[in-house]
Amino acid sequence: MLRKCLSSFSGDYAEMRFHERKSTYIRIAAGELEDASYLKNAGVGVRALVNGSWGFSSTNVLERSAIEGSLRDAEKAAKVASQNRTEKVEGLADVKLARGAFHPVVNDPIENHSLEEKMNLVIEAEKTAKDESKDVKSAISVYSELVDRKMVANTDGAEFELHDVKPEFYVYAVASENGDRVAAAKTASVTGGWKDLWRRNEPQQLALDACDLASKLLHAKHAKGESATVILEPSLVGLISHEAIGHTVEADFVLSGSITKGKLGQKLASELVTLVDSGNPPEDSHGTGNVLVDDEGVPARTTRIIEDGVLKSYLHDRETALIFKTEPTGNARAFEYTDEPIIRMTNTYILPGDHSLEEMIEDVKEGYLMRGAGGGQADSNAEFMFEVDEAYRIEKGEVKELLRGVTINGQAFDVLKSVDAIGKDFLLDIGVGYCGKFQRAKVDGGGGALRCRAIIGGRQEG
Amino acid sequence: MMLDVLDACKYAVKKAVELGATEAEGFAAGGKEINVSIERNEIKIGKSQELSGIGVRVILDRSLGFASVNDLTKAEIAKAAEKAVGLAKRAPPLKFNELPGAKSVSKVEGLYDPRSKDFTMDDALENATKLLKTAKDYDPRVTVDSGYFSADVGRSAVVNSSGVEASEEACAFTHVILGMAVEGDDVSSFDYRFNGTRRVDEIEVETSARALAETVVNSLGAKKTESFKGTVILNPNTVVDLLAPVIVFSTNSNAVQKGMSGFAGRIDEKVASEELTVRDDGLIPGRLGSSSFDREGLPHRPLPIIEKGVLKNFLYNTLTARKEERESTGHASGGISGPPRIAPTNLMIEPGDAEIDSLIGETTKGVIISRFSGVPDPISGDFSGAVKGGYLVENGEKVNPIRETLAAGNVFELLNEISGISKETERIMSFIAPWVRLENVSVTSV
Repeated sequence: MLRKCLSSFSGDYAEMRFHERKSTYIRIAAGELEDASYLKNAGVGVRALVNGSWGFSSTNVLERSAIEGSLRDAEKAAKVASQNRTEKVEGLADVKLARGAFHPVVNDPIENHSLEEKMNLVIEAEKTAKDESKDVKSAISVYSELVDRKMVANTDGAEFELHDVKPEFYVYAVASENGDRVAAAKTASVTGGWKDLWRRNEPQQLALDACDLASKLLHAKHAKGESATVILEPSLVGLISHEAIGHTVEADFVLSGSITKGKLGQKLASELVTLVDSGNPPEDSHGTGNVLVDDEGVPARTTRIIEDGVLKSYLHDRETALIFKTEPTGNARAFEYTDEPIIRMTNTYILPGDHSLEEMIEDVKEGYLMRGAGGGQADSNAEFMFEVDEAYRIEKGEVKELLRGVTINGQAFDVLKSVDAIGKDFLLDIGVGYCGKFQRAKVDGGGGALRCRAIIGGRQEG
Repeated sequence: MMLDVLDACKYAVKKAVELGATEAEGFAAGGKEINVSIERNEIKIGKSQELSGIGVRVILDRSLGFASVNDLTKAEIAKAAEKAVGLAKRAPPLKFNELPGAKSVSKVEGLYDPRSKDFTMDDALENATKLLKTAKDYDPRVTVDSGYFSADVGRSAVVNSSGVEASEEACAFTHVILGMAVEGDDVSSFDYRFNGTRRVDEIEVETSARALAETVVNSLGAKKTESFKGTVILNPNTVVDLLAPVIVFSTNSNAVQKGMSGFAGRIDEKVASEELTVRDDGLIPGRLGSSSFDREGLPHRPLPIIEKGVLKNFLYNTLTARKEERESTGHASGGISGPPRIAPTNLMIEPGDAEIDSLIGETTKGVIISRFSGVPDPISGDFSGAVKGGYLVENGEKVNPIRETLAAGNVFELLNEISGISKETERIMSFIAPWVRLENVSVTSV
């Protein structure tokens, strides 16, 4: 039907995307079921390129007349927008567009597991967390899943069906004592099935680990602000790769003047560093950021953003790929049917090296071992700041005490230039939650562990 | 055929009760969005779309179930009701879980502007262009990464099986602009501004565009500074990003009851410096955070939250209020996609008696923060993040913009370290905030 609706179109380009999303969300907090929701959001999003400008419209009425109405509205919007556009969109880069059906790798589909089972799992995890430690007074446990079905057709020949399943789970434990409170979280998140979700840890273990960490943090001291040698485990490597580097190489941001503009071919990192973005990573078929085909119909590929320290590629949709005379990278993504595709990352990570974590720690006289990505933000000049869940002091090659309230900061390229060792154990580990850029997106990131220099955010003596 | 929002809610309630729900509630919203967005110094895309949907909350022997569909046909609403009842059958019961009865609701004026019906894509384009052009014209070094102007007109309704029935039409014209300044190899920190109004004749985008341009241009040529513990001056944006989230979280009765709030058990105690007064009022005509009724169909109650440093009230919805045998304060919040939560409406931090210039002029050594990059932990109150658009102040003078500077501390502690609040306030979406000066903040530069 989408193909038929497109037949009347006479502009430069148009695409139609049917997207049905069914999601489930279960949340227990302090012994109370706060949310048990089922959501269905379905409709057709239509994007048109007319007079060198874009227009978008959508409909939740799945009938031919309504979809054709949306196409007319998108055309109209494009024509209006084109009046005040100074440089017209010249076209879209050619690439072989997807046809056929695409399915993620799924071990034990989540629909084989009943709502009761999922609800009990959340209830039990919260109970475990609360009962485990006397310090933990309160806990939250959440299971959620996104089940997507898309059908996309565009006037350049893409015609495909895409299925996607992204379950996630987390436990959040709050420890408190004498008015002092601290929280710790443990998470699991994948593209795939039930077995894939628990591939590293069972939910009960995550609950116990969150508790244990919250309890230890409650009795930990704050870090001091200083510049230091740090070993970042894969979750934090993922956060740097995504937030601090990844956003600065999104071609829309590059064209606006981000720090990487005009720097292709320049050495921006240690030669140990190869940083990639992939919607279908060969290293891990269950990345939360997996996108087998993007919403413009470009099949997933592995883009080497930085290769042996040299900036090699930006992340493109078909429009920016034409501007840069290169190929699109499969990064045009829309979150719901009501959103137009924009350049987003998928799984962004640093390829593993050849060091064991023990070897990396051994050589450090004074420094920190850091694990677990909290919130993070980065800037147009690649300055970043991330919260670290667990930071341990390293002294003379030995891991010492845990510290709390720690952030790491710095300029991401300076940090990557200082890398002198990369770990051999690879993980994608930042998949819970969403990346926001006007729309939300599921992304992932990781790598091997990195040893580098960064700034520790902490307290100054008064 | 799509039902109107009020009829959709009534149908959902009827259907859910037929399917066995003890109580049921429908909350529906529908409307039209016209949006013109900006990307890399250009008009990017025009969007126009109609959206509608309903959330069905059911209670079955005190167990909760919820389902939502973006479709107001009877067939889909019935499916949602069935899903919600199915979830409730499997959910554990929750003490005190009941829907509220009806309460009289007075209409808040100024939420809907009839001229919004005639607002076109051309009008949205004109405003988006003005937003972009004002920032670019301010200084050629300004680059606008992204932004949009959006016009939203719609109607929402809530109906429950205990007699609540309310609906309301509203509109909002909002904009966002995000950009930075570039001079040779020097790329400033990015910054953003956003704002909005409900009246067509009050649409104004230039202030945001100029404020953005001024901040990013001023942060070019930033230098490193030294580490110290001392004074920081927060602009209203930073007050909203750094202080407000901790106050909002800690006064949420759900967080209080679940042992997560730093304000638990501290009503009528001093939690902040005397200069600080915070209140919430969802009934102010025409404001973005206002509405005639909350997510459960109850009227908002204007509430003092902190008065001269003393904690006065927490925010309640029906469920959290029942647990303490009190009445909801009308702070149930949320949309069609989940059960009601709790949030402030129009949160206002009252002005102080200082001029902005004197806040700076009295500072021997300190840092002005235009944007804080980081998220305070609302549970512990700890924060540690990067100072953006920062300025070093020495002997009462702004010296130079600073970079790679971090600020850290604890919001609960710093609420008692307020040494000045400005007379001037800014309205930022549904917030009103002044400039706030704090002492004893850790500033790190390496």
